[in-house]
Amino acid sequence: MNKKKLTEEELQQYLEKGDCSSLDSNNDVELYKTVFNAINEPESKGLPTNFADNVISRVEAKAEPLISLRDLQWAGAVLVAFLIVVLIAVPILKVSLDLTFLNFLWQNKWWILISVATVALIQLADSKLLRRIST
Amino acid sequence: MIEEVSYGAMEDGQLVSLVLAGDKEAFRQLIKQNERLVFHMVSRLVDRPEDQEELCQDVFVKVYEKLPGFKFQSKLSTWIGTIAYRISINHMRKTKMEIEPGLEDDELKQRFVDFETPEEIVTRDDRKALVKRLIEKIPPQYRVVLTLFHLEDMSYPEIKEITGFPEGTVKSYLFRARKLLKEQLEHYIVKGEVI
Repeated sequence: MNKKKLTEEELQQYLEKGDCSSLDSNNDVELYKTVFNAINEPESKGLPTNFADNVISRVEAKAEPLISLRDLQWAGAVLVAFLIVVLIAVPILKVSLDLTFLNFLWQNKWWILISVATVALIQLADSKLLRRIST
Repeated sequence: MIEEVSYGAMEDGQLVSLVLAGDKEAFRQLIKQNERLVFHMVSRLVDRPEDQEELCQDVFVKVYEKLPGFKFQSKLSTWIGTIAYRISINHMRKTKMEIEPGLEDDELKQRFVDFETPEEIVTRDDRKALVKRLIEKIPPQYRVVLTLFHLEDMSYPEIKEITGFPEGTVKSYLFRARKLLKEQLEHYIVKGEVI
């Protein structure tokens, strides 16, 4: 019996269902079978075996702030306590404050600014670049 | 007796709850369950192998950050696939890679002009390898749809959700991608005079 030739769409539908037995062998069918075999085959390449560990390290590094909120709270409390002590001690002890050291800071303000900026830059490079490379 | 936690047998909801509670092993399991999908998605859209692993990592870091907002309106894998797709497309935009090339027949055939003629395409395996190389030449949106449907066994609605293409477009891309591969395979086999 002469079977009606299937359209490309019908052919693809048959192969999608994995129903090859009912197909007459012809050039189109053979080509489509090769295409389907290739596209159904999993990739031989993949991610490295330590991939999950690398992701977890990155997540942990991101979650860990350089200075925790608790550290900041402690630093703030110590500073406030120090100022209170100074404000109480100065009138009691009648200490005359010598603020000439501020002149030294003012004269070297650019060096101080450059130093602070350099340290901040190194910190930024460490957090953005070096940690990423290490993971 | 301490009951051993079997992460592999867990449902999405349980796994997500544990990850949100800070269970590192649960997150490792979530990565293991979905890394193949993410790699397929990223590697189909991003050509440079050196970028692929980093982008796959970016996907899971984003998944971790956005997990508290996951509302279980879709399967976890579909949601992760959506993130992988968006991150890959953003990377393509940044690196000025071709995202939506013309899909007219002539333009599509032009993509294969510089494809070298394989010297011998004799065995079935050779032909399969040729098809795999041809896949790299088809437009990225065709590659994604092919991969999700054939390698990840995803349904049309799931592919629609991940890519944002209407369902009819997904079906059309799938049909045209397979037809294009078949036509190109035929072209090279005839050129190689093995039929």
